[in-house]
Amino acid sequence: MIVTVRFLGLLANWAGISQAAVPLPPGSRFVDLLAEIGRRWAHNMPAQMWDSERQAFIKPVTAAVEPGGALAPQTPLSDGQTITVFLSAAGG
Amino acid sequence: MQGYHGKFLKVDLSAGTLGEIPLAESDLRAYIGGATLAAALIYGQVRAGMDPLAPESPLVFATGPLTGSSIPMVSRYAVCGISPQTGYWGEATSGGSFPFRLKGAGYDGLLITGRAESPVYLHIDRGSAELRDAGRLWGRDIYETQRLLKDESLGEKPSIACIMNDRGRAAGRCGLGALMGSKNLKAVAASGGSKTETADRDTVKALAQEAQAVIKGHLVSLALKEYGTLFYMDMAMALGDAPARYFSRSVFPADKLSGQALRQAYTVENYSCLGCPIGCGREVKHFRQDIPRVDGPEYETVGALGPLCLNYDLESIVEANHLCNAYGMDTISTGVSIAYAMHLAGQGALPSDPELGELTWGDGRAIVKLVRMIAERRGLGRLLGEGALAMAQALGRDPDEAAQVKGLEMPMHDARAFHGMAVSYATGPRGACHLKGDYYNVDMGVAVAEFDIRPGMRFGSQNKGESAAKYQGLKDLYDALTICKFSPLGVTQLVKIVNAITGWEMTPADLLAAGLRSLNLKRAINNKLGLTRRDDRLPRVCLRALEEGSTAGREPAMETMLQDYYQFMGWDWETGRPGRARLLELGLGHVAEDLYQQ
Repeated sequence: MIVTVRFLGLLANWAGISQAAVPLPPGSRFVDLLAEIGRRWAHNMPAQMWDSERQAFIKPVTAAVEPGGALAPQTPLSDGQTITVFLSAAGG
Repeated sequence: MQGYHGKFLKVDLSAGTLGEIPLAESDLRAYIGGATLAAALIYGQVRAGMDPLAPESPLVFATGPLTGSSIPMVSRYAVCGISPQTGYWGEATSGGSFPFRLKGAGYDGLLITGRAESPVYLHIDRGSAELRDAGRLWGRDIYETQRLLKDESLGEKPSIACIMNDRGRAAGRCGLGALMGSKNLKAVAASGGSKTETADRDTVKALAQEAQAVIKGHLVSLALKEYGTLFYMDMAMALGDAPARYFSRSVFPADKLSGQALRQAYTVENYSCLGCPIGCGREVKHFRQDIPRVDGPEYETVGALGPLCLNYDLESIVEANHLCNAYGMDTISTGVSIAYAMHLAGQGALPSDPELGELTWGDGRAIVKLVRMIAERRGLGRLLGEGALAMAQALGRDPDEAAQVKGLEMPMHDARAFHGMAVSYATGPRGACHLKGDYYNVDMGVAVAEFDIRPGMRFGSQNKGESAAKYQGLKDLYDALTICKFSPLGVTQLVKIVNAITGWEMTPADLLAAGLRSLNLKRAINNKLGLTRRDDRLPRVCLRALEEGSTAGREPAMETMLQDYYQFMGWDWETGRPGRARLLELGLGHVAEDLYQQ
């Protein structure tokens, strides 16, 4: 399946891209997408964001929303879905 | 005494006299400094029915024990008094180099009462203070006043007036600029290098280095350094946290108003408070020939003058922001008042004003014009300058339509996006305040293990009252210590810093108790001024579920969270007062005696 990932804010800067189509194996969950994002783009991001041993983002780094709210790590994804990803941080 | 000078400067503007107030170490341990110490100092002067603009109404400037030290992100001060905008406890904080200079002048703070016969300013230098004629400064804007005062070494103001320092840094909320103006006090000029003693210099030095490393490596610091607080705009929209169209929408083209958009449109540089390694402040350079430099805009400002008014014209937002700075006006309250006026205009309920003409959503030029009209108290501007609640009352509208709590306008973090914000807004010591506490950060992943505060579901309401109360206490403590809310230092680090500077032996539990003591003391002041549980509520306009965006259909369970909050705080559900037992437990026996004799 293929999901569309939208990067917001600094994550877009660091990834060097605002949107990308990401192929994933059928049955993938949100946590699998995060791992794939890390594998593709973490090398452009600050070292403190990505745990290369665990192949996972270091919390609190990313979150994603779809209509209705944030995605939990184990949320199953579906083909054609658009997911917005950003730093899990607020200010102002 | 370590970490403090041990004295406040007492200024009676009516008599034109200056004196000193000695501070007891036991009081400093209990109230720490900043806004909390200010509350303790004025508690006895607060009377039911008090007019905030009466000469006897006190105005306090206060630093904290960390101010002036080498610890980063502590050059801040608090301004406090009875808010002319709300009639309740008012406080605002700001950073820059002024707080270092204020403490360097030889005092921990200033307690000002009375009203000068003619405009004056207060000059303090190395423990020596005098009142000087400010006739030539009166009526001049913030920037010109500061320039003129530096070379040497407005009476009636809208209720949403603030106090400015270091060019465009604002102690913005609660209308304390109106209180200062009512005293005919135009400015405070402070200088000097007076240092306080430090209990353990070597440890403070090591802790300062450790703090620098933590701050510089923190991801939020990186984001703030890159785009300032505007880094959050597009994320806020995605989360439904940035209100639009006067709290009735949450979806808008955020990319037009993001930190990236500001940088693409203008030359933007960072501004740092003294001793801060982040530099979250923005300065727009070469904005226009007549406005070569603008301080800001911040996220809150862009939110209030932007999507809340359906305005996506960055130029008008930057200009309106500059005018608010120059006139000294709270950008949040200004934006909410203007958005409310647009809402009323859409319903045909806004009185006509020939100078303004027709007011429609998204009209950036009208927003700029209205900011001038508010500042100069012209036409409809006079009404808008009193804030949303006063507008609703004056126009005979349903108060539930006014986006405020206790008279203070709602900030740009929508309680429907993070339900813990609803109870924080409802109970905050100064009304709708996004800083006490900023619970959105908790549900975005910030845990405080020492106080057992853990992230939860942002739309959840169960057990959130207790957690919100503790987080509010922590953030109230920040304003006692006068440390920046963007500091990522943990409670354990803060305890070490406080102990190394003061020589005390505090624990994390002591700090939590100090935060809760602070909340209860301010609450008691508000109770004396007439506040009850009925005031701990959000207006319907800010609670009603939206039909769009990521918060569609979500409404915070206010009652559940409020009951949980009251239970944890030990507040009386009928009266809204802190319970006698809780006051005694927190060492506030004199407050218990005062509240329960009535």
